[in-house]
Formats: sequence, structure tokens, C-alpha cells
Amino acid sequence: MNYTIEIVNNRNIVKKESAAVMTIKPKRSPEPDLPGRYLVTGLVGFILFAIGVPLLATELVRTNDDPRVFALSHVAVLGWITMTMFGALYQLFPVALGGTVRSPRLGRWNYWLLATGIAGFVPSFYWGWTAGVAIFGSLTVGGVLHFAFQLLRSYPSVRDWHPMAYYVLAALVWLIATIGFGSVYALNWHFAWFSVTDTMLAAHVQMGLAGWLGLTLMGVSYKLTELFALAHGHSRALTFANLGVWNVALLGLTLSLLFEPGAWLVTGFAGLLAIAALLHVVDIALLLRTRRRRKLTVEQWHTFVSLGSLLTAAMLGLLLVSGHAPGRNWVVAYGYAALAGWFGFAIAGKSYKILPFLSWLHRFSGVAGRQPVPLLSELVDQRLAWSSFGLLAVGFAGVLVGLLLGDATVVRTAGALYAAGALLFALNAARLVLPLAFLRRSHLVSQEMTA
Amino acid sequence: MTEPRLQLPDDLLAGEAWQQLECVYDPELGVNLVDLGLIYRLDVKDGKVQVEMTLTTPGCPLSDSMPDAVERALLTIPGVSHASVEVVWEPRWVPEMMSERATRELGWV
Repeated sequence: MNYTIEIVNNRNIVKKESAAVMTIKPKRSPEPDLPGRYLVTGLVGFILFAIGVPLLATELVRTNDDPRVFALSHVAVLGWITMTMFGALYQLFPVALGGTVRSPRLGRWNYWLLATGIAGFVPSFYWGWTAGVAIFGSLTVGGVLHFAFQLLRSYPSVRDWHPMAYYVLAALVWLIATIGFGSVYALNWHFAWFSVTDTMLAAHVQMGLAGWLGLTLMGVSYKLTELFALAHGHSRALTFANLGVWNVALLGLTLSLLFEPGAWLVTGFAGLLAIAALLHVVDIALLLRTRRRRKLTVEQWHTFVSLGSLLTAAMLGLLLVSGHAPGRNWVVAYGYAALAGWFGFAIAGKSYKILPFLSWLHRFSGVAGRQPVPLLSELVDQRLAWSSFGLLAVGFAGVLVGLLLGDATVVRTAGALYAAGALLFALNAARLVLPLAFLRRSHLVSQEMTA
Repeated sequence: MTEPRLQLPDDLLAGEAWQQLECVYDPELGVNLVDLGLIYRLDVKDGKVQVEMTLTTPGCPLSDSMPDAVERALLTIPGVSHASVEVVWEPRWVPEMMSERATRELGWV
């Protein structure tokens, strides 16, 4: 049987020619290299972050207010988590929400803008080069804003208004706000227009963590948990209630941090945000109770640690804003619980679903039904995945304890375990995602056809 | 010179088609589409096969590739001259539509 590939209206069309019949079906998914290059960069960011923690142990147990700690936190937030989320959203927006991403070609160009911005921004922070922070920070802002507007422009094409669509929409608004504040602070570091207070920085951090990253992760979690655990019949009332409470709490917290009307208001809104976090955990637990796949997978164990870390971060945040934290090392512990715990375990776990799926879709979907094809689980080395999970979990818990105790040796030792887990994860993930980052679908399908 | 087309009775082809679809697996769940209860209707007339199927959820990431796989599988059957697949959302798929074998494989029972 002969297969040819035609590109019509910038979409891939698989055209099957046989003596029997010819069918033409448009594919909504973007070319694999678009999500692939963001996901590969995210993987690099993850490794850098994991290695950076033990190397910066002395600074981390001392304070959050250090240019090298800023550099490390931005490697995590921008280089690892945001890059991974951009890649995942490019892939999930069409397949999970039925939308079409506008201007994928601009997305490819935007990648270089963003990657250059982050690659310059982080070292500038590290060495305290304020002009570099302003210049590369502006490139990063351009890249992030472009992504946000690209996805917002694509929203009218959404066909399945699953709760994930609303969560990501709200997250994009918070992303624009976060990057707006961040760019003013970055420029201000160089030009010194005004003095930036701790609470002003805290507002920026909260918008980024709870607004952009948190809402995106929660929205994607609802969709992927339903899909992969075969969870059906769960009421969405709590899901939407959480969306409302979360946004009200975050807006209140941000405004009260910026305008400082009173500490009690900050504590009140932080408490409300912690309640919303609890609502989300309860909601996911209820969703998982309806699952038809009873056996717990390595992905779900990552989810459990992630949700536990969310509650830990919420409690630490509450202690911080109410003035009960003994030192600045607790601010670092709070950030670490959120970044490495809540987001990190969720991203690593979901990667064991998203990456094999992405790989399968572009390598095997063209021949499924005609010849035997592997299952998604067979594309992942399960032993490596479990080993990585063990090292990450033990390392994470150790680093968190070390940060709370202010003990650099504990942070260094546990951080090394965490880094080893991250390397094992990268080994597993790189085999799946590296080929996708450099190849267009036409190449991949052609390879399968000739195989 | 064109090859002579094989002609088989439609009911024989229908049996072949169901068997063939049991070889098409959901790559995530590892269960075939027939046992998952995703194939709602299969009609054969004069060597032309029409299938009505669904997916586990409207936002299924396999919404493009599974119908294609079904079509490809049907076209491998000697005697099938045409295959068309329509994805429908009514009635909505529920886990109770799975066969006993599928529920066992997923660890549900």
C-alpha cells in the first residue's frame, strides 16, 4: 500500500492511496517539533535546577534574597516548569480541548526568543549583571507574552469546554500579570526607579506560582486524570468552586500584598488560598475514586507526592505571611515545596503519560490497525521510572527538612539524591522527546512507512 | 492488469471485521476497541464496511488516530472494498459498556 503526505493549508493531511479507497483526514495537532523543542528545553532546565540545589546549599539555607538564589528559582520557574508547560499546552490544546493553535510557525520563532531570553536572564541574575537582567528579561517577557496572546487568540476555536479550558484561560491572565510585574522589577533593578519591598516581590511570586503555574497545572490535572485513570461520572461542582475560590483568594492576596492595608488581610487571603488548595486535593481524590483503572501507576504516585507538597507549601505560606516563620530559610523551603514538590512531581509524573503519547502519536498512529504497535506503557522504561521516583521523593523530603533546619549538609546530600533521580528521569524522557524536537511529522511518518 | 476482486458473503465479512477490530488496541489502556465497547455498529453491504464508533471521552487525545486505525484494519481484510468510520457521541460511552474481559484487564473486578 502506498502512502503520500500532502501539506494543505498548513495542516498535515495523510492521504491513503489504495486500490480500495482514498481517505483524507485533517490533523489538528501541531507538528511534533513545536511541543518537542519546548519539552526538551524544559528537561535541560530540570537538570540544571536539580544540580543547582546541592551546589547552592550554603546560600539556600541562609536566605532567599540572593542573586544566585534568584537565578536558581528562575531556572526552575522559566527554564524548567514554564517551558514544559508551554510544550505541554501546545500538544494538549488541540487534542484535549479540540482547539487549533494559531500561527504554529510563530511559536517556533518564539521559542528562540524565549530560549535566548532565559539563557541570558539566568546567568545575568547569577552574576548580578543588572543590564543583562534588563535586556534578557525583556526578551523573556516578549517570548512569554507572545505565547500568552497566541493561546488566547486560539481560544475561539476550542470545542470542548472542559474545566481545563477555564483554568488555563485564567492562568494565562495571571501569566500576563506576573510577567508584567516581573519586567518592571527587572528593569527597576538596573534603573533604580523605586525601591522594591519584600511584599511587592511576594506579590510577583504568588501571581507566578499560584496564578500561572498553579492554575495551569490544576486544569491539566483534571483532564489527564479523567483520561488516563478512566475516571467518569465525577461532579464538576467542586472543580468550578475551587476555580472561583482560588482566583478570589489570589486576587485578594496580591492586592493586599501590594497595597498593604493590614497584615490580617494578607493572612486572611492566604488562608483562603490554603482552603482552595485543600479543595483541589479533595476534588482530585474524589475524581480518583471514580477511576476504572484500579492499579496505581508510577504517574499516580508522583501525583500523591505532588498534592502532599501542595498542602505543605500552603501551610508554610500561611506561617510566613502570619509572621510565624523563624527565618528566611523558611521562605526558601516554601518555594522549594511548591516548585520541586507540587509542580516538579506533577510534571515528572505526567511526563510518563504525555511524552509516550506524543511519541506514539507521531511514530505509530500512521500504522496502527495495519501492523502491531507498542502500547504507551511499553515506550517507558518502568524500572527506571520507579527508581527515579524513589530518588526524587527521598531527595525532595531531605532537602525540605534541610532547608527548614537551616542545615546545608543535609540539603547538599539530599540534593545530590534528588539530582540523581532527575538524571534517571531525563534518561527515560530524552529517548522519547529528543527525536520529536528535531523532526516534523512528515519525516516521522515517512520513516514508519518505509520501516 | 488489475487483480480480480475477491467477493465474500457480507455476513462472513462482518465476522472477519469484528475479529479484525479485536486486534486494534487502545494504546493507553491496552484493551482492544471491541472489548472496550467503543464499536457501536458494524454494517457490511457489497463488501463495503460502515462502522459507528465512539471514544471514551470527547477530548480523547486519540480522536484522530483511532478511527484511522479502525479504517486501516478493515481495509486489510480481503474482500473489503471500502471502509468508512463515523465517530459518534450519542449514546455517550460509559465504563459499563466494557466487556467482562476488559474490566478484568483494567483491574476493575
